[in-house]
Amino acid sequence: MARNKQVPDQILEDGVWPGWAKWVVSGFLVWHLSSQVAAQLSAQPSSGLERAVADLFAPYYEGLDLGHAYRYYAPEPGPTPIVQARLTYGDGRPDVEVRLPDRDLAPRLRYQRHLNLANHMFNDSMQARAHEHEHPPDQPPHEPNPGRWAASYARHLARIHPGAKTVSIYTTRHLLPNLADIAREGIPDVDDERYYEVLTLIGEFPCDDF
Amino acid sequence: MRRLLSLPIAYARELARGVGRGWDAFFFTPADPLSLGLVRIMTGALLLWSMAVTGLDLHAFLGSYGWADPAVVRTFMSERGGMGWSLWLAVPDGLLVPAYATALAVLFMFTIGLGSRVTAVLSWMIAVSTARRVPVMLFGFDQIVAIWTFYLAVTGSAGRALSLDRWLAHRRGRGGPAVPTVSVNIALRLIQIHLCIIYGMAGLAKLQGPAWWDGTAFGLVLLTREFRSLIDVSWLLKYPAAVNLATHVTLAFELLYPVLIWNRLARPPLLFLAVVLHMGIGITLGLNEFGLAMIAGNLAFVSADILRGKASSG
Repeated sequence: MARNKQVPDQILEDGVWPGWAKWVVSGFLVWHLSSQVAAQLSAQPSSGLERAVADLFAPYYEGLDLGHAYRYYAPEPGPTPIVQARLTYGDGRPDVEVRLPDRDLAPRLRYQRHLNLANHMFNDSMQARAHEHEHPPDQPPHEPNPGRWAASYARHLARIHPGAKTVSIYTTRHLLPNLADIAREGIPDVDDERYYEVLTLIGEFPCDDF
Repeated sequence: MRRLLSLPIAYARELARGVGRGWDAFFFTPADPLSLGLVRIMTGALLLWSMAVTGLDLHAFLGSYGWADPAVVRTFMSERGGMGWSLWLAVPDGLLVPAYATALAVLFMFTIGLGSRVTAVLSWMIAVSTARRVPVMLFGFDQIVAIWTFYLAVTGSAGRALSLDRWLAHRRGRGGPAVPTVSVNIALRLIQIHLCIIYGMAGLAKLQGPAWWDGTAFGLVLLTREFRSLIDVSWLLKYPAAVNLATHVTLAFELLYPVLIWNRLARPPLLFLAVVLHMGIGITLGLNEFGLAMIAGNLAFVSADILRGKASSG
């Protein structure tokens, strides 16, 4: 344990905390640690009770950016989302293709950032699509919803490619090969098309809108 | 009847006294700041490196026409209770470069332990501001370094050891060698408990996935080709037993860490396993920064006596 049991008397000023200070700090510790456990337990899947308790602490852990769910590689490792964008110019210039992540990016942390750009946008778009179907039976379905990050990414791409007319955003997923296939065929090439889902058009964004 | 009542009352009193004594000893015993100094140096260096890498795409990440449209960022913040904030949202594009240079300078000062009390708070604000400004580029690494920085900042103990502050005070004759303090102990305890929460939750969540039960999850991780491994270890897939073992050991480590790390004898092998696990994640998935951030947190469990080369008293 990182503590020293033989502390000279002259250096114990900080060790002699008055009772009231211990009570105040203890109160903070109980509150803080409770908020952390509550935030963890409120991530899905969770019960209504767990979410209700977490709501009590939400302003605290949201304000301090401490309410994360540390569910790394859970429930298990899965396919990797990829975002592809096509910029068209309409003035004879060839289309520009952008891939997130771009495999040539370095250093590794920069590549990881771009991998996360794809991951967040994919999840946001899938969530938006799921909500498209949530409408009262007597009302028509919502308009197709690309999600908010897709429009945001299109805006950025339009900005760094001056003169582009439209930005089309697509998503796909790089699938994991079956372990039995690996035993039979070896590890497939990273570009093997069998392990990519068909591209899904998320949205087409006119650059004039930005 | 009186005896029936007095027994549970006596038990409750004894329990309360025991918990009080235990709580007092656990949180309010002065601790040597050496390990915390190492946590600060590693965390600061990682924050500095991360900010330097962000600078390669400065306007794409932090500019008003970046990947994350400020209007969308503000909408997401308001939907999450309106408690979100980011200093970067107040920086106009024209001032982005000087603001970025200032952030780098602050993170550097935090790393070397200069003006530690202030730079720890500012570093935490920079970490959270960046996370909130570009939530789409975040992963576990950003969460971990922000948490360690928060604990270093909130306890005011970031510069108690291995810092320029301490060296300058020593030169001016206003400070001796690093001394044990309660605030250092509170910072170490918070990091230790938070590590247990992280490992415990990561392990429990994995129990929902069949691949963590049938021993294939580690193989699936190796097959995630987009992660770009530093070293290709996919040949391990030819040995199913090795893949099974790595999967089971990873899960067992995460589930048992929160319990066994408090045992003095179990601590050294667990800390060794933590280093192996996180170095392994760095090599196989290329997540070096995440691995180093977790290793930095594990330093909170390393005895200062061992770091000083003395026999551990536990």
